[in-house]
Amino acid sequence: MIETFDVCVIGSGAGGGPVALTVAEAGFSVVVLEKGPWFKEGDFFKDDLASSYRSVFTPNLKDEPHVIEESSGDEWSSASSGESGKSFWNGNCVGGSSNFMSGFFHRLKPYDFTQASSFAPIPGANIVDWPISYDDLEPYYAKVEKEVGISGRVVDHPQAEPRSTKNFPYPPTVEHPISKQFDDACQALDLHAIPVARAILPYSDQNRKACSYSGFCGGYGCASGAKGSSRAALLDKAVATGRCTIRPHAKVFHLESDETGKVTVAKYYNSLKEEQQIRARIFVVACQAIETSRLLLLSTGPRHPKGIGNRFDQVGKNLLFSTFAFGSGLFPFEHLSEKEAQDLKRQGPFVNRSLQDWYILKDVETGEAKKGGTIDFLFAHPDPIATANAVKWGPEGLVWGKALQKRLHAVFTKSRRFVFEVFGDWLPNDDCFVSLDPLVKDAWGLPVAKVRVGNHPHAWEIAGFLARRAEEVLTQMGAIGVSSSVNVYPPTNLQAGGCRFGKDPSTSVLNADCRVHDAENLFVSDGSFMPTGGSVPYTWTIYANSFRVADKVVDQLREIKSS
Amino acid sequence: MIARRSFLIKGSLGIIAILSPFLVRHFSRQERSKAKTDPLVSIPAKLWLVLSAVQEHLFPSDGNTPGAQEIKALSYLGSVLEDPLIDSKEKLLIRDGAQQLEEEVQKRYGLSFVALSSEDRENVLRRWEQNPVGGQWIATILSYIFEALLSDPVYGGNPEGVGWTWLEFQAGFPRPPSSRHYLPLSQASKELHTYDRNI
Repeated sequence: MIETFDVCVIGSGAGGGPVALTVAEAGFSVVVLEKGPWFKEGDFFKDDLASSYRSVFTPNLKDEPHVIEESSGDEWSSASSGESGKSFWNGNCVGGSSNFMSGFFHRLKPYDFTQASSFAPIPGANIVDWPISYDDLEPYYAKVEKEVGISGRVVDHPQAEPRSTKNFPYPPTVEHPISKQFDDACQALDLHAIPVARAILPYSDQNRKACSYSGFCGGYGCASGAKGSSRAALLDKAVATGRCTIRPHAKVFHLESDETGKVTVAKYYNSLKEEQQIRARIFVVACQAIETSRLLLLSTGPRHPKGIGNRFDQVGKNLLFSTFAFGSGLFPFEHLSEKEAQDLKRQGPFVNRSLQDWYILKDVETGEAKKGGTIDFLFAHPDPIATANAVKWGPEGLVWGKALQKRLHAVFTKSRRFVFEVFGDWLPNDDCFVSLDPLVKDAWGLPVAKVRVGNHPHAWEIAGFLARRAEEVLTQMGAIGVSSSVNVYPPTNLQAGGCRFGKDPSTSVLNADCRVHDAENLFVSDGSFMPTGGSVPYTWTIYANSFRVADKVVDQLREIKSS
Repeated sequence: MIARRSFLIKGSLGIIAILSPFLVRHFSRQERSKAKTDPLVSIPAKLWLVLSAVQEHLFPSDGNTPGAQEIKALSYLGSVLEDPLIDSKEKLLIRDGAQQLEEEVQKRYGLSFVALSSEDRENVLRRWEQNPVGGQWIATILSYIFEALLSDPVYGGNPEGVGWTWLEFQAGFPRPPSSRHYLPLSQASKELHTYDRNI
């Protein structure tokens, strides 16, 4: 007999968790199929080898490669992960990549929902308005603050979004002394320093412990449960209802559909590679953008000969990342008093600052408004092995011997590096999409995702402009050796799009409720729905939209049950 | 033939014993059981000597600085070759790069890299760096020296945090306990598939 649930959610990250929790709390049964294992707080350590240098939380690339197509002049050249070592995996375990996020949480702005009608068109960018407005999503942003646990301080600034609640439910996490130095520099430059909201609990609550301020956060699993991962914040609560089953090591490979287009069964392999099946009234896909598109493309059926939702060849198209720039400067200890140096060396408290003074820019030639972005400020990532590896390259090649040791000692003991990260819109374009690779297969014999990663040059200009402004702030703060660079290659952990939502089935995959146009019981609840990205990291928006989709799922279940 | 092979290993072990207790353990273990070592990447004794000499040249010891020996870089590299989560291609690069370097040195000097003066080692490695494989190989050897210097002591390098102390680095907590090495962590997860884990 095939196991049957009211809802089957595929993927357990920020897109899956809100649906599982909402459905379970509404009294329905839900199973969450997760490809990876189920780690808990006790499995997470501040362990750089496990977190960054071995495939512990991501798949072995020999088993599960991606094929990545990059531009080489006028042509596209593709390489599989086996050749390049590159992939788009971020966290394959219960809770997904939200286990390893930094938890810098930003809302989108109202005009991020209306970019086509609010800004001048950009040739080569497929910009459209969203079928919903900021006001439709605002109650869910507020819900995430409570359910996931967001800490912060609301301040008024020119780009502040409208809020339905006065304050965050949790006060800010403890801040590093350098945050004050940052605020002073911004005041001198007539900028508006914004305290960044974090998905981190400053005190124990909701059966989760407070942040332990270890200083090792982004990129590491959270050992206290303070970080608002989908696992710690939502799925543990969902399981506690008694109506949510989490099934780790369940790799879904096919959604079977009938002649009406409805999905009937999710087929998956367990860790012994045995084929299993789940039947449900409603299915929800949330595998992170690239793998969501891949699963829909793999799921052909009588009404879906090119894959579910792909009648108009839209699945996988308009994939989004985030246009990203990075820069840094040094604060040498030798210029400071002993107390100031001790303060600067403090590890644990957060910087928690960003700037959005250039979220909207004025075009120099036309005077028209155009999108800019967000700049987050923080200390350099604490991974010492990465720091050392950066030091081994000198202007003339590799550095070794005494010269290397001298450099290492100086980098680690003479100064502290302060960095910034620029987030700009990744403009949707015809050269950024997911398809199935015709040759490369994974360990289960399934075609892997082939990802073309074309970026739009307009976005690089914006990121470069923002990086230069951020450099000025670091210089004002007294940093030395300030520099920055724009990344043309996409940041792997900021994925969205590929199944954009919209009103017209011929140009979108999902309707405004994030239900697949021609599959009445299939929803997509991860970041795939986003037709444009906005200039902030996506996680808060993914959580919020997933809670919105969850309400639609519950409405549909109630209709099914009452009929 | 078997007798000759056995003689060669014993001969090598004689030299190795003087240089490195790790190598004696390593080869004794290899002789007892080949199962733990990646079958593709078995490194002959003389290349371990080359690897050891290269590591010591790239990361030398002095009174204030822990060098390759103090951070156990060679035994750490041995554990890398046994790590199933590290790609065979990387392991082959480590072996074949050492082999090619040694062949170049033999051709040029009629000696092993191990027997070269510090100045000649520097010259050889700088030339080797210009070779595309050579450059990649040295960068890889350096990256595992850094792991031995700065990863948690439970992984076999950085004994008693000697690398952390030298660089005034404060490790994060909780640190990985020796019983929860990442291999068991990734393997243990496989056992969870048969039941739904209760919270």
